[in-house]
Amino acid sequence: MRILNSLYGQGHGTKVALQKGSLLVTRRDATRVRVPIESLEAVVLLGSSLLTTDAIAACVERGIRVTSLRRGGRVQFVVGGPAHGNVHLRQAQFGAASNPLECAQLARWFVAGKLQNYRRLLGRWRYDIDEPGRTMVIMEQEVIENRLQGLTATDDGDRIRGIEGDATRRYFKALTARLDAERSGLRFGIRTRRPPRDPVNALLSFMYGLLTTEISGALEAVGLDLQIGFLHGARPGRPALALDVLEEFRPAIADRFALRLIGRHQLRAEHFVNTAGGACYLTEEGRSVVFRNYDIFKGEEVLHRLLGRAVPRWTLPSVQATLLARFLRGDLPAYPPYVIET
Amino acid sequence: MCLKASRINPELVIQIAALEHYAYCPRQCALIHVDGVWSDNVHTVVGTRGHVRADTSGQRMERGKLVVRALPLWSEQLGLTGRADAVEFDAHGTPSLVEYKMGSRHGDAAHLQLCAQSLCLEEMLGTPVPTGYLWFSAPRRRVAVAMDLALRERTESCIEQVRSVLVAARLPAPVDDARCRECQLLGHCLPHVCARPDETVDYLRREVFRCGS
Ligand code: SF4
Repeated sequence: MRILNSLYGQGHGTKVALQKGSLLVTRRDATRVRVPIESLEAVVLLGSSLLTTDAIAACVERGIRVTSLRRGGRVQFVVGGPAHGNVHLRQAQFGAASNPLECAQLARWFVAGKLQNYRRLLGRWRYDIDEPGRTMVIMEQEVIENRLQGLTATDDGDRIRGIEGDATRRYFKALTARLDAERSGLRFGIRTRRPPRDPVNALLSFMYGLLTTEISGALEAVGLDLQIGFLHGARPGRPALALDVLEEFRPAIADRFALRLIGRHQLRAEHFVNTAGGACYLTEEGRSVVFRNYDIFKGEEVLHRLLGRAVPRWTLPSVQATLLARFLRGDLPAYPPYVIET
Repeated sequence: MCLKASRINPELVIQIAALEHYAYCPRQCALIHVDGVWSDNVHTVVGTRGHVRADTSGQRMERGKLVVRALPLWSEQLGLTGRADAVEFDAHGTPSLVEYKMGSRHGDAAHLQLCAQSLCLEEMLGTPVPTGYLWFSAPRRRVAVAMDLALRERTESCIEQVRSVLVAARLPAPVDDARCRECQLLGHCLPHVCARPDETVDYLRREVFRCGS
């Protein structure tokens, strides 16, 4: 399946090979799709799909990221080309990351973007939910506004993380009410991650993973180091900076998209499987539904208020990565997170 | 004024192409030569194709002149390095450079580049290089450019300016004018946003930290 600038290979027995400058995707049922390699920015593999060495080499040569995702959305591996040459930007990034005050400043902007997007989503949901859920959503929105204002007054990293955690708990409480209002038949209790334990959590985890690969690609393309974050600390193998930028995009892209799929009954209970231990995952058919609709969702144009113009959603990770680079390089007085339209 | 070799940090050798970038926009020059940003777009892809013939090195006789293609150029005196599309030697052995350009107009930037190349060639061969040529592919046309004193002085002062941009840690401010529309770094540079820092501050206040209705 080809989605704008990403190729998704999934399913046991799916093979992606290089043929005359195109990627040839062959599925087990012998259906074939040919994708010109020039049109790609990323290849995402799921499950046990296969990519030939020639195809990997051709992707790496053109700077196309090849990512493998686990069924829960976690990144299994990434193949990329040689590092970009922007040593000055990296130096600025390391400098900021080793300065607690600058870290706190950036952490505050990432969290503020996330909370503002929470606030804007809750502002819409209140019209879709009947009492008593509505009163609760209005209340939680007010508390989140309070937390957002609390952010302006602090440059203590731990306090910022505390505010973020509290606001997120409140947001998910409201999300539960919003999902109940859908009467979709999909279960959502509390947010569970490793592993997700119900369909909505399975969908959210999967979307966050997919978004992380897109943000990672955008950050690396502008020459930033994925592992050095400001809100998220350094841990081996953790794309801390991608997780930082992910914060504003969780509500703005992943949650909105998930709600749309559920609200339109495009994803139903039969698109999920439960493992013996109680973990829940999307089925292959469920992921196909996700990819097909994510394509449409990413292609839609949204207003970027700082740029002052409409851009397709799929460009947002690179726009934000570029703005972050511009801040670190001293061109901008602040990092401006992306906020959705009200 | 000319920077003497002894004063030039070997790491600050300048690509001749940087002069052309600088003449177009100082920030473009810094983004490419300091930050290592380069994104292919229509302009550069077409430009690269146009250079294929010039990049194939070798020498041969053409219409009674010896022509050397893809000749590496450098100047220890000025701290320059680059490559000539073609160098022609006339019947008297006087060398001159030929630089191929896409389109029809490149203005002063092309003259500065040609002059810097000629300065390199003079130092390398120890012979004067009085004239250079620009070959424009759009209206297939060849223009002679005299390497006069005024152009040499402007070129040397441009080299100094480029060097000062390359040693500075900060990027020059965006020009944010008609040049940006044609610039291949537009998406990376974000001139409209970077030229107005107040708008980012305002955006944070109005949109990101906004509360109430
Ligand atoms: S976009 Fe404009 S300011 Fe930025 S490098 Fe290009 S010409 Fe210069």
